[in-house]
Amino acid sequence: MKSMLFKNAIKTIGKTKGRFFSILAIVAVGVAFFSGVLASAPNMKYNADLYFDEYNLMDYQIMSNFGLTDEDIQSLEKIDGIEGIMPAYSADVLANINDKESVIKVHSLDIDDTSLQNKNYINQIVVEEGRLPTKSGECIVEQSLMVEDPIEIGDTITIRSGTDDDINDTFNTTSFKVVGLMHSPYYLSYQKGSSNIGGGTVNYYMYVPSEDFALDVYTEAYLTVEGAKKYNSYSQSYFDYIEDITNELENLGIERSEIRRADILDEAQTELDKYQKEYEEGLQTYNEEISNAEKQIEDGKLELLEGRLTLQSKKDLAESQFASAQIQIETNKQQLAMISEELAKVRAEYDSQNAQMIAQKEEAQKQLDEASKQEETAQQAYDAQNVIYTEYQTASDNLNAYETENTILEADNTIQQSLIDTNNKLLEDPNLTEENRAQLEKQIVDANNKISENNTKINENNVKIEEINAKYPNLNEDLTNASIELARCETELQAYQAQVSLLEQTIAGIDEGLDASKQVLDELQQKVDSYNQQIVDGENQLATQKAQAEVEFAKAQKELENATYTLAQGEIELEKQKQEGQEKLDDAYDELVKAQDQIDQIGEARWYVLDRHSHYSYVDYEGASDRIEAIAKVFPVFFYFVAALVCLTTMTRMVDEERSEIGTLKALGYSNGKIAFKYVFYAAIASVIGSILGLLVGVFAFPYIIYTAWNMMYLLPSQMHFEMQWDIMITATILSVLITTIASFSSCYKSLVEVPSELMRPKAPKVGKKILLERITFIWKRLSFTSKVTCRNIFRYKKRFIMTVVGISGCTALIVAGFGIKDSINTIVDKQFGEIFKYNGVVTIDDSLSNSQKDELVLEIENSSSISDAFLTYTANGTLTFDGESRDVTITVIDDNETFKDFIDLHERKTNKPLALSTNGIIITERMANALNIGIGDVISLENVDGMARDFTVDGICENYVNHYVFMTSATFKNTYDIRAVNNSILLKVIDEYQNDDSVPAKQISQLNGVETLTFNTSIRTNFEDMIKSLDYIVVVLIISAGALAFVVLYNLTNVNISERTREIATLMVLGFNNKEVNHYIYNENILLTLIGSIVGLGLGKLLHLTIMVVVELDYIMFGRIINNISYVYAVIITLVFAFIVNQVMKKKLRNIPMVESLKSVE
Amino acid sequence: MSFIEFQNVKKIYKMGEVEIEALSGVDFTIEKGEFVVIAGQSGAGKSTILNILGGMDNCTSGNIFVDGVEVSKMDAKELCIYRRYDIGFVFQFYNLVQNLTAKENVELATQICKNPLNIDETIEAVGLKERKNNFPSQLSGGEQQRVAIARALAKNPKLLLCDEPTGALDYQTGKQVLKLLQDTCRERKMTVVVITHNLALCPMGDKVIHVKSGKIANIEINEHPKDIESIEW
Repeated sequence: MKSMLFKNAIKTIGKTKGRFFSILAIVAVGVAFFSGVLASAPNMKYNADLYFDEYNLMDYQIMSNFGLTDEDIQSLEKIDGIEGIMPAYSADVLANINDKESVIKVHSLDIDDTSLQNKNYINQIVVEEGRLPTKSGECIVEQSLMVEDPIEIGDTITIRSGTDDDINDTFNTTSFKVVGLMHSPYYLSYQKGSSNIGGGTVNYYMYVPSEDFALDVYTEAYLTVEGAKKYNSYSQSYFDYIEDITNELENLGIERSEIRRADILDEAQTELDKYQKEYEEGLQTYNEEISNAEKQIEDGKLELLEGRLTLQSKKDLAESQFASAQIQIETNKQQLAMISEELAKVRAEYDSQNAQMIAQKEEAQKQLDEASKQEETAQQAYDAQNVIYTEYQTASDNLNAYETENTILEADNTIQQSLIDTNNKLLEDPNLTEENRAQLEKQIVDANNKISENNTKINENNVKIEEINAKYPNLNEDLTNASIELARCETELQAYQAQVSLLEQTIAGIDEGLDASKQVLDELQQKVDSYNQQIVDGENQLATQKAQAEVEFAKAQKELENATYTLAQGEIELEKQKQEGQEKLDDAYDELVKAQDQIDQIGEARWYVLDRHSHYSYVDYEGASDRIEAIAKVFPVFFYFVAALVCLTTMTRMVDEERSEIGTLKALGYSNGKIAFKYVFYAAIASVIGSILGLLVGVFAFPYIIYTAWNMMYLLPSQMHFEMQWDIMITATILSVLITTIASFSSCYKSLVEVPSELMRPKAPKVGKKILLERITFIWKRLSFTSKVTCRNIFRYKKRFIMTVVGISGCTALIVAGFGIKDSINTIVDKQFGEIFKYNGVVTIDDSLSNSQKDELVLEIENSSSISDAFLTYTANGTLTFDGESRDVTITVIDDNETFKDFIDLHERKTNKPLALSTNGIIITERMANALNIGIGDVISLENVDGMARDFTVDGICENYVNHYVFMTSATFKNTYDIRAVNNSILLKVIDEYQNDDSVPAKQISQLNGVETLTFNTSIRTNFEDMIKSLDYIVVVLIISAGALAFVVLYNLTNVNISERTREIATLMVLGFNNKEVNHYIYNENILLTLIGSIVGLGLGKLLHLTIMVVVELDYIMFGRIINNISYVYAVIITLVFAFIVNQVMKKKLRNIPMVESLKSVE
Repeated sequence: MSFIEFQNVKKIYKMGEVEIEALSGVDFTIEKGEFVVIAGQSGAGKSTILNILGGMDNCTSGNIFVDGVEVSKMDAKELCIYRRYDIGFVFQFYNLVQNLTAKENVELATQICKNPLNIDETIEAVGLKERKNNFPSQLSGGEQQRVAIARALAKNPKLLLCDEPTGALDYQTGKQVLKLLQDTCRERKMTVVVITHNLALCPMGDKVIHVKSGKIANIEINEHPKDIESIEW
């Protein structure tokens, strides 16, 4: 019997696949969502805890404001239940990583035993690449995946101090070679907490060998507790387990810190005294130096005055000298004039004398010429006479010569004859030798020859004598006459010669006279020339002297001017030095105040026993998973509600259809329970299968997606381990089965109580009714006929109406929320870095710069071609405390409210009312105000970067999305802290051209002197956008869920509608309605319901979005509350698209309705 | 050519492997303005004839002409238009849309027609002037059937087809409905085809077609059809 009913139920499932599917699907979606979202948080925590356990994350971190000594560590070791203890050092330092100043948190690593089994090796390192450091100077750095240009193995990192302290006080080595890249469970998130140096946040962390630290005391100690790994550290049982040890550690802390306190007080007092002395000395030195410098300046002024006077007197003297020289020149000129006059006179005289003498000379010359002529004639006569005389003389001489020769010759002849005679006599001698004889004979021959030769010559001479006698018969007489005549000619010639020489003498005399007077003239001329020369020379000399004097004076003048300039420079320098000195003094004073404050605080010496609740990464990750859990509480309720409605409508329809079957069964005697079993069983089967499907998807897919999405912000192993959440799975299944079976029982209950006879008859069709809208006749009248029909139908079945509207509104709401999340986050970026932060970048300034140098740097930056404006401010980290809760904040101190407006726009979010800073209050950001419940007028405590805590009144709460800020004027700062806020950063705005490309301004600014770091908002923006991209997954999940919801609901609605109205549809067909018109008749309803659902969903979506935003909001980020209008449009469009797809799918079913049969059957 | 002509019309249903011949060659003619009664036992094929004539179903072979148009060659779309403009249907179970008032049910039909009759007049003509704003559930069976007739008439069709219009009605009401049909035929010159298994009704038709086992048994023509009032059964 039962098996028959069972069979019937199974068969029914086969026949009503669509209906079965509706219930199954909505249950699957609901269960998937419920179990999935709910299981995500435990899974995230489970995975984190696995990771913690695997790498021995500390259970406690012990810190003391005075550090931990070896004695402290020893006392810790004595505590029972401690498994491992690792004393360690850590320090925040600065280093340039890829040319950017970065804050690095340096941890110590005991390199002696780094085996993973070592109990005392806590917060173990996950080596991703390379190896652990094994000797001094090596380091292992976090593997950063979010950075464009990450640190690589082989790089060298040189660290420096971020404070005034010497780096060598903390480290033995300052240069580290990267030997490995790592992750650590100690740092789960990319956010590694804040730092009070550099940019204020820790950018990197690294481990170096302990020996490279130079500290006397440990900065911290890490502890693990025996047996604590058994517990999930995110569970209460974990904290219960370690509670005793926590108490013990805290007690020990009180004991130990008292011991160290005394020493430290002494130390601090000494330091303060040192500061006090330094300050006083500095003040004295300053005053002395300033007065010295002022004296020097005065001396210089005096000297300069003297120099001016000397120059003036020299100038005057030179002027007078020039004047006298000028007078001399004038005198010379006058004399010259006189002499010139005389010269003219002399010249005239000379000219007349000269003319006379030249006339005389001419006369004498004439006479001379006459006399010369006569002399010449006489000479000629003499010469002629002399020829004659010479002829005679020659002849006479020749005659005499011949005769003489003849005489000589004859004498010779005689001599020769005598020789011959002699020789002849000698020859007669017979003794004569032949030889002598030959000689003698030859002499005779020669003498004979000579005689004959002489005779020839005598004869010739005689001839010639004869010839001369012939020619000059009276030779002697003629010769005598000629001689007389010659003597007479000679006398005459001599007379003439005398005359000529006389005349010549006269001419010479005249020439001599001429020469003499010429000489006088020349002498005069010479005199004139000499005067002229003298004048010219004088003038030249004067000019030269003048020129020389001018050069000299110019030089002197220049020297004077230089001296004046130098003096002015000196004065400026003095002023600057005064300022700088004052600044230094102020700094020293500030130090003094700070030191005093430190001493004031020393009373609070204490240990900090930090369990995992104080571990940044642990808490941060817990927050992330809790946010997911919070969402899980909103959605499933909704999905189950829809599931109940779907089941209710479906089952009601089914029961209605099987009315007669129920009646028959009843008539046959089946009990109500057995009959109801079929429907309850049907729903139960559907929901069990649906639950299983939903669990399969939900329990694995959702945690995986969410874990992976969150891993974009957290560094957990990408391999995920699932912890079966049996409780969640069973709850989800039981809930869904309960809901569907109850719904299905309630839908058949009404029929079951009827009597069989009534059941056998067709159920009276649902009575048509006028709807409310019809009473509003002016609207009703205007509706088309089909619209009226649609309206009536919609309100005919209230359950279906509610189901559809709820389902569709849920769909729309999910999409609105999905897009809304994106909008809100985009809003952050656009509002924060557009409307609120109008500046594009921040420069941190080298703190050794003086105020005037800072002003110069601002000017330089403003003058850069890519920069439109710059603003000098003070920013530093601080901690704001209100009502026992605190937040890390950035304190921004400004001098000038008006200009600041162009860089950061402070205004209230809701009213958009601009806020201005007063001189005694502060403005804080909204997120923090909300979180700490701070209102305007409240007094908060603000600790500055030097650890000084003071009270401030909150003047205003401004719109802000990222991080917490406190804004105040420099006056407020100084008045409250009694130290100045020394400007340390420059906000800058780039010109429009470089709004999205900061490479050019970056290049221009970073090369300026005094620029320490340069950060552009674009990079923050990009990082931010990347980071929140992980939320895209959530949006996709939401949209897919929305789609699933819309499909199930609309499918079910249409399915029920069609099956219920088959008859009606067939009637329409018979009446000649074409396909399109039939579709309209049915789908208008769907569309209208979808629209109503969408509109309701928009409101619902806004609420949902708000809820999600509040729930998932990060502590340091305020999400926007705005959803863009276009997102609402998208949500409606996507919902309509889902509806359209369902309609298209269902068209086929509509088309297949058998017209004839449908009309015949009795309902 | 007659107003309606059936020429050797056959209809074979295929139920899986089995073929069932519902009509095995039907021939008849109907003239314009005739009141025709098609009579036969259950399963004789009279409803099939009506369905095919009304364009709700196709014949397997043969030719059907209505007002000179060959209906047997029409495709689904053309049949839809044919039903829309040329045919008025009245069913045994009224098939009113429950969610619409009497008047609106009529309006449902007229809003898609070319030359509908005045709705109010039509309703008045079927005698439901006072009840036109009532929903079907508020009307008696006879009244509902009158609404159905009004709905068919208001379309101003060429042909009024009635499938056992009195099947679900008591005797008196049935008579009233039939009278309405007969009057409509007479007064409006409307061609009316009525299917009935009640042979007693035969005398009221101008033409009576007897169907038996998918075939025309015989066609009788009443020269003087009787008024429905005078017929008793």
